[in-house]
Amino acid sequence: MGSQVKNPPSLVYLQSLLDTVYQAFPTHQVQLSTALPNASSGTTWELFGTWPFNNGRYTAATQDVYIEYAMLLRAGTHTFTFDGLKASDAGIATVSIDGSNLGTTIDLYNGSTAVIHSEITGVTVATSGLHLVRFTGATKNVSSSGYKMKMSAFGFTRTGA
Amino acid sequence: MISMTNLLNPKTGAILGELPDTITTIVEVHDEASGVLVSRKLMAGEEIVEEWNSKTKDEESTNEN
Repeated sequence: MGSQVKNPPSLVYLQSLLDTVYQAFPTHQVQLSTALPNASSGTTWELFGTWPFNNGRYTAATQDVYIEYAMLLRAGTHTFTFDGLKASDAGIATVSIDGSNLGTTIDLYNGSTAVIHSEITGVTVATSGLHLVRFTGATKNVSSSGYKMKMSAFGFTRTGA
Repeated sequence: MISMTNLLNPKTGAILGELPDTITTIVEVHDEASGVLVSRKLMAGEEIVEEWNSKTKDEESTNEN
């Protein structure tokens, strides 16, 4: 880590990249995702933990901070998984796809640091293609001192058409 | 699965290595039927930094099939 961070490519470029891959592999399954946030707001996006365990990034402690990733999702029903850390200064993460909240939030507050694995089932994706997955620290547990979101990984597993 | 800091095995989720800060985009191609990884591109902006495919021999550790 520590190298110069580049800006993620534009969605237009990602779509053109996808088109190229689809042409090269017309009968294969393709996954595309931005490894760095596609967009973020008011965040100090920093490393926590020691690689490779409990490793990840966390956002600023301010309310309504968000981070957003672009990823390719197939139409259908999915289970969303989230891995990160609970902490005394963590908020409640609201997860949305293209601006529509998943309906279930993830409370990342805990009095002491603890690993969290959370799943949200029955997530419907209407169309196949690039989608924007956003995490927003909109609310917090009454006992928490902040709105941080400490994230290691997230993903979608397609469970049905 | 997107990891904030690590490169993962797409089938098992196992950590394969640390993901440099310079990598912005990951593109993977899988066989539809078997799920076997066929191709992976690691990109920095619009530049391909590292490219692996199933015919490449020097990075077989990234394909645990």
